[in-house]
Amino acid sequence: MKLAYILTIGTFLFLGCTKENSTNKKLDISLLHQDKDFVTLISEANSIIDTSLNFTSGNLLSEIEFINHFKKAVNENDLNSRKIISSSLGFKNDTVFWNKRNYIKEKINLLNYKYDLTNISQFLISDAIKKQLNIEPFNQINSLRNKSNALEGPNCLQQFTNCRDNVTAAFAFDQVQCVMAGSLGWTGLGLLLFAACEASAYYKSYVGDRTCLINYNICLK
Amino acid sequence: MNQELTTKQKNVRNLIYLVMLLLLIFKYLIFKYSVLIPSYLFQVLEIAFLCIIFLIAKKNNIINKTSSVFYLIIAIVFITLFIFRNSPITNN
Repeated sequence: MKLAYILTIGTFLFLGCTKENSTNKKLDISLLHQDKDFVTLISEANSIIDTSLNFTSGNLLSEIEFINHFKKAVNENDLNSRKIISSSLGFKNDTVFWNKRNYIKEKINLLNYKYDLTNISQFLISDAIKKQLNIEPFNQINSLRNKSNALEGPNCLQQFTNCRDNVTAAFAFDQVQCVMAGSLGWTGLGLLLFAACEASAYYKSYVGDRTCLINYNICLK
Repeated sequence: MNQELTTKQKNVRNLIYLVMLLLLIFKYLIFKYSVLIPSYLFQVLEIAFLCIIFLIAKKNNIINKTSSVFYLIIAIVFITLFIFRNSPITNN
């Protein structure tokens, strides 16, 4: 009981301190293009744009219609409007589109929390997007075009393999703490800590694998 | 299965659990709310920290051999399964 009390108070104190610090201190915007949340945000936004560009339909919505349906879908959760909006953007399954949209919204909130994007100029954000998408100046594009396309595939694959190896190494490294938690005896707390540690390690490796795949896809573009 | 521990040993063990829980939360928060490029320095610090915890546990005779072996085997199985996980890209 005493231990549970200590654990609870300790956890809340720790989380409280972290939250207070993080609200006062924002991260440097120049690191935005390296942020994993930013990378996934760009990737998700790209996937929506790709789907819309590949979609050809005779029933295009006008700007006013689109805005009205979008407002209805978001504010009133109108199922018909949700379907109209998602199908106008080329999504056969409306849940996929709205899940993507919610995911992007969450990521923007998270990035805003980390970087305070509202007080940053549009130029810096677009610069970060360009860096992430590897949009080079014109003279560099020309020199890059001279490179053989056949070389790009294996290079990207090599980067992807290295990235996954790093994820595996990090996962194995995390196991040290998990085993340490279990080695203190046959206790419920030990088992709980072991399970929490494993869950954390698996989640981190899942995110790591996804980031590797996203970077691979960006590398191929 | 459980070795009998004195009150002092139990207190030290509980303290180690608390420290390890905080370390786990700290690592997770770093992962979640930072620019995610974990530095080698942090990993070295973490392993040094875990070594110190292990030495404290060893000095106080808290380490249980059977549970250590049991969790070690589980961890090895997990790592093996993880190494052979499916890759979304096949290298032909």
